[in-house]
Order: sequence, then C-alpha cells, then structure tokens
Amino acid sequence: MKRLTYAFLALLLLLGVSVWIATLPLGALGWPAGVAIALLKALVVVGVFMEYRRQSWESRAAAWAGGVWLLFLLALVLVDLGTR
Amino acid sequence: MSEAAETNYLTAGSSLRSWLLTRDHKRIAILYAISITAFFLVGGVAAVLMRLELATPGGDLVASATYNRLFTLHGVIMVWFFLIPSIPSVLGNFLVPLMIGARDLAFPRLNLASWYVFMAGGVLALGAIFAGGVDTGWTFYTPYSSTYSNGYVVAMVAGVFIAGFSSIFTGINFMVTIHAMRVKGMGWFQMPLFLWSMYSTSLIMVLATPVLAITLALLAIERVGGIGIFDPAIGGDPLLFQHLFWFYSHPAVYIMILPGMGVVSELIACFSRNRIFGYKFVALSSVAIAALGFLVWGHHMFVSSQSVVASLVFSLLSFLVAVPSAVKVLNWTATLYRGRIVFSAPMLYAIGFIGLFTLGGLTGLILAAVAVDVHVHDTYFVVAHFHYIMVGGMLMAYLGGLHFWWPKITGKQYSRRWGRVSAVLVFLGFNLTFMPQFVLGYLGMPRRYHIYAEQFQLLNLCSSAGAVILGLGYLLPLCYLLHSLFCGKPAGSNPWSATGLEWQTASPPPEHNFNGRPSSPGEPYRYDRMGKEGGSAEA
Amino acid sequence: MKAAGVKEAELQAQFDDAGQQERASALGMWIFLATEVLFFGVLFVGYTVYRLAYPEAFVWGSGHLDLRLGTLNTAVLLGSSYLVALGALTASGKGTSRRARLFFGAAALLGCLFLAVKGMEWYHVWEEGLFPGRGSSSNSFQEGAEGGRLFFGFYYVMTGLHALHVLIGVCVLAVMAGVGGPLGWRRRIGNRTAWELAGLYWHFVDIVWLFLFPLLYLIERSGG
Repeated sequence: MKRLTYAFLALLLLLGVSVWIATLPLGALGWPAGVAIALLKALVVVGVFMEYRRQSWESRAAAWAGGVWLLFLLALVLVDLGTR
Repeated sequence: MSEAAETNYLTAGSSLRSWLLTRDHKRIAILYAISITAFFLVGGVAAVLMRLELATPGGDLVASATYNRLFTLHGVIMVWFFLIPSIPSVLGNFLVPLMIGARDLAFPRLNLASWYVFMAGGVLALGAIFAGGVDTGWTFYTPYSSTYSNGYVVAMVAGVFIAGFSSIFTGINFMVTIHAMRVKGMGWFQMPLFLWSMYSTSLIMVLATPVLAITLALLAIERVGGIGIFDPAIGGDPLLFQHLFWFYSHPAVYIMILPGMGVVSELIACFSRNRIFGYKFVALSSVAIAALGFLVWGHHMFVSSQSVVASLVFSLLSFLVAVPSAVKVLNWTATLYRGRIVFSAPMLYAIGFIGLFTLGGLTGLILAAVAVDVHVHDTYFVVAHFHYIMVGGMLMAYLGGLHFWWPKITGKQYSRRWGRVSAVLVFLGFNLTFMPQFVLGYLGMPRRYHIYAEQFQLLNLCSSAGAVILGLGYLLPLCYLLHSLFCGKPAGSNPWSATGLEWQTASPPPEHNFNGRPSSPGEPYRYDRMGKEGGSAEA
Repeated sequence: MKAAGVKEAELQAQFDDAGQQERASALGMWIFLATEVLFFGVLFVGYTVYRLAYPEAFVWGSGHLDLRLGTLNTAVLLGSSYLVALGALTASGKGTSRRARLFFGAAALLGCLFLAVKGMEWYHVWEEGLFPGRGSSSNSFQEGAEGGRLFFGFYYVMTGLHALHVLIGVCVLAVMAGVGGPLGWRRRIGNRTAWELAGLYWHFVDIVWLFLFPLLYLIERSGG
C-alpha cells in the first residue's frame, strides 16, 4: 500500500518537472526531454501499478515485444525519411 | 475401441443453436471452414472472369472500370477472407488444442467471437462489392483511395478493419494456449512443428494487424471526415500510408505461408516415415521468419519515392529472410532422404508445395534486388511470384492438410484415388497458369490492365487454359470430400499411423478431445522407431 | 502467482487448475496490451514524421492548446490509476471487496472528469476555428505555418482514440464497482483475476496519455 502511494507522489512530481522543463529555452532538446520524462513515468506505472515483477516471464516478454516492435516501425520509417 | 458407441463433437448436439453458440474449438473450425470456402468461391469467380477477359488482347468481356473492381475484389477477398484465416482458423483451430493435449483453447468465448467478427467484416466487404465495388486494388494506396476513388472504399476498408480483429483474437488465443496449456511433459522442443508455425503466425497476427487497423481507420477518417493525415494538399505524405500498410502487409505474407510450412513439416515426416531432419532448425526458422519478416516491408516500395538508402537497407534485409526459408526447404528434402516415401494425396500436395514454394521464393530474391525490381515492378512477374507463394504454397498446403486431417475431423475416409488425381491436377494447372506470367512480366506486360499488346496473347491463352484446369482441380475435392461425408468408410483413429497426440484420440474426437489426459508425448516424429508393423501409411 | 484467488466454481472447463487459468488470463491481457501499443504506435510514428517536417507548425499548434487543462487531466488520470492499483491490491486480500469496489468507483468518476475536461478542450479549439476536417466554417490555419492542419489532425485523432479507450475503461471500472451486480455478472467479476485485468487495461490507457501530454501540450512553451 505504501509503495503505491510513493509511486503516485513520484508521478505527480515528474509531471511538475516535465511542465517546468517545457518552459526552459531548450530548443531542440525539449522534445527528447519531454519523451524521456514520459518514459520514466511509464516505467513507474508498469513497475509499481502493473506489478511488472510479479508477472510471468511470458507476460513480461509481451510487454517488451510491444515496445520493441514499435521501435522497428519507427526506425525503418525514419531511415527512409532521413535519407530522402 | 468402441468409438462408434460414444458421442463425438459432431453428434453432441445437432440444433443450429448448438452450432452457432458453440465454444468447442473443433466446431468453430468447421464454421470457419464453411465460411472461407464460400469466400474462396467468390474470389474464384472474379479470377475466372479476369482470366476470361485476358484470353484476348482487346477489352471484349468487361470495361476497364469493371476490371479494376474485379482485381480489387479478388485481392481483398482472397487475402483477408480466405488465405489469412485458412490454415490458422480452420486447421489451427481444430488442431492446436489436440496437438498439445488440451481440452480447448484458453479462451473459447473469444474464439467464437472471432468468427462472428470475421463474418461481420466479410458481410461488410461483400456489401461494398455488391453495392458497386472498389477500384483501388487491395493495397488502397493514398491519395487514390482517399481523394480520387469513386468506389465504396470506406465500407470495404471497414470490413477489413473488423476482420482484422478476428485475426488478433485468434493470435492471442493460440499464443496463450501454446504457452500455458501444453500437456505435462511436453516442452517447447517436443511440440509438433505445426505448433511452432502457428505460434510464429500468431506473433505476426498480434503485432502487425493493429498497425493495419489504425492505418485503414486513418484512411477512412481522411475520406469521410476530411481530416487528412496522408493528404499532400495540406503537406501530408502519401508514402507514409505505404510504409504503414506494408508494415502489416509484408508480415501478412508470412501469415500466408508459415502455417503452410507447418503443415508440410507434418506431412513430409509422416509420409517418408522419417524423423524430421534438424527439428530445432525447422522450429526456430519459423520464429526467425516471423521476426525478420517485419523488417523488409520497404521492398514493396522500390519504385516509389522512398530514398535509395532505405531501399538498399530493405533489400539487404529481404535477402536475409531467404536464409531461414532455405533452411526449411533443405531440411524437408533431407527428411525425404532414405525415407520410405508413400505417395498419398496429402504427400503429393506437400511435395508440390516444396517445388512451388522454392520457385516462388527464388523469384522473390530476384524482386528483392533493387535494380532488377525497377525493371519488373508492377508487371506480371510480380503477380506470378506472389501467386507461387500464396496459391502454390499456402493453398497447396491447406489442401494437403485438409486431406491429411480430414479423417480426423470427419471420421470418414475419402476416395484416395481421386485425392491423388486432384493433387496432380492442381499442380499441373497451377504451373500452366502462372509459369507463363513470369515470362509475360519479364517481357514487360504490366499488371492491372484489361487490355494488352497482341504479341502477348499466346502466353495469356496458356495462362487462361491453365486456370481452367486449376479450377477443376479445386472443384474435385469439394465433390469427393463432401461425398465422403455421406458415403465414406469410417476412418479409424489413426489411418496414417502418424505420431502426434491428435491421433491418439478417436476420429472424430469426443467433445473434450480426450478421454482423460493423453499420455506424455516425448520426442516428436519417432517414425523411424515405429517398426514395420503399424509403421506404414498406405497411399 | 498464488492460486488462492479462484474458487473451484470459477474454474473453466478447459483449464486444469486455478494457477493455469490465472496465468493464461494475465498473459492474454498483456498480449492484448502489446497490440494496443502498436495500435497507438502508428499515430506516434506519424506524429514524429510530421513534427520533423513542420517544426514551426507544431510549436504554433501546441501554443493553442490549454496547458492548465492538459496538466490537470494528466493529474486526474494518474490519480485514477493510483486508485485502481489500490483497488486491485485490496481485491486480492480477503473479505474486503466492498473497499475495492469503492476504489474502482472513484477511479471511474475521475475517468468521467477526464472526459468532461477533454470535451471542453475540444470545444474551445473548435471555436477557434482549428478543426481540420469537414464541418468547421471558420479557418484559422492560414495564420500558422504550413502543416498546422496536420498538427490538429493528429491532435483530434490521437486524443479522440485515447478518449474512446478511456470511455471503455470507465465502463469496465463501473461494472467492476457494482454496476455488474444488477446486470447478473456478479459471479464473473467475483474473482481476483478480473480485478487485476481491469486494472492492467486502465494503467495502459494512463500510459498512453503520459506520452500524449508532452507531445501535444509541451512543445517549446518558453517562447511565449
């Protein structure tokens, strides 16, 4: 029960950080910074709320597969876009 | 065994309701079998009309607008409503629980839902066809499909979108079932190879189909709501649609061949009475094909405005897929070596498969080379290539599998002589239909036109004549298999003396597949240890 | 996972024991979520392609979204996820299903709040003439750089698809919280696995929003 509460507070903190960072003049770095914080938040949700460590290995693999396959799609589309 | 006295899954209930609300994977397989046969006939009629039109160089039978609708209909129906569900939803549905010794799939309700979803999509697609059809080709390229087409694109796309969910449901069901429900003692490497191919296929269904679904949804939103994502008029990139479409549709090609490879592995082992050569390589090559298949889609876009660098990357990756495919072909051939080969109907289909798939695969390498592809792209060479894979490969395997497991599914024995005749007829008809198309394409005859230059007529006539033989070859099984339902002799539980848990239970199997739990299977394909008696399969 | 959650009566015929049933159900849900990742993923890929092509238009478009409402909605969804996690945890204990129902009910209400705020935002942007599709009379896109319509195309499609998922999630949570009882699904929602699966789905919907938020609302807010 305590773990959940800490995780929730951490998520709210990260939300504040991401809004604050967006007001800094970071230029092109703003995009990756925003995504990085979102990724961090997602990891907290998966790790604590979705109890990643309590899942069977198959379930964990499924979670990874979704992310990895999305990277396949993104990477190869960008290979085309980046070299046109 | 006192098979006759017990009730089996077919006799467990005879009302329409007992079929339409069934959660038995075996009955759902039958529902799928009937539906996809109907779709096959619809798609087949379109093919016949096209081949008739192409018998002469002029547009004698149909106008070009009608022809456009015919090849679109043929593509959409055959790809999404016949080939993709064919082996997975019919044979897979029937066999996956039996082969792992389970009572049913993990989610029987979801399984039934997948059939209803499939039928809803199919009805919508047929509705679009009968309302006037679609002229975009099965690929729905933007901006043609979004801005310029005057067909019923949205209804057709909605049909495919909905049918996609039946794929996803089936994929989830198979994966979970294979993971969680294998009989005690059956490890991953004790599974029949058919299950490895089903697992790999499910992987593709689960990870690729959502991409198609949302892409088609975006297309519909653009066409109906005017919210353009691919619209060049507002700065959008129509090529993005092609990327997303092929991210699904290339792996989908492997949905249309991996299950066939699984079936053929079973048939080759059984009818050469031999252990599969290099079991682990054959098993893992299925997974490798499924994974690599996601990284090669750009080879469909060599002549689009895709960058040259991207084309080279995709070309290289495409060549890699040839490796696991070749591993399979070599291992099947090695399995035949020193086997006691029996030329039964299923085996004839399987051997035909190996030949046709090899030809289709090798011409695929030609197409994966960027420079050559520029020459033959959008010609009949491409048409011939993918028909060798999809029809020569998958359809042959489906028929082979159907002939192999028909006694198990129905409990009846069909005419073995007619089975062999049809297998040979299909093989000959197929080659006569599509071999000339390789030549036509190489000579420069473009696909998707209803008229052509006069010098191409002889080869086109050959092709059309072959289509007649091929059609006959397909109608024959429909006749003698149906005939066997009423007049066939009882098949017995293991007519081919095959290994595999599905043969340990009665034909047709009881409602919950096995009486008690089946015994632990141990190593698969122990044909070499079965000895002379009980170890021979009659043709 | 322990097998205590499933009673004999809830064991479905195709499974051998409760442990197998729980493992299978959870795996099914995770695989489904993987398909959802790719479902939404296409939109993220399209977004990336166009943001690289039209960076100014995306800054311009993001400036027209209400940052305060977006932040509020993020907090609302995070809160609902927290409640759902609490609910699932409670449900796995014994004899406290009343509290679990309360947690899920509260989460469902937060989900409704999210949708209400979202609807308000859509309306504001529509009023500004920033709806890229058919049916909007005024058109403010000329002021922005080329590609402004694309930004708002993504805005509507991405948030719309997400809102649809929230709506489905709210219905699921509501059924678990007690609406399912009168509908006659009491037995089906009685076991622990059902609570965990509902929770997994809701957390996933939350995660999608965690990525949508910086990509849509937080583009170079410094310039003003």
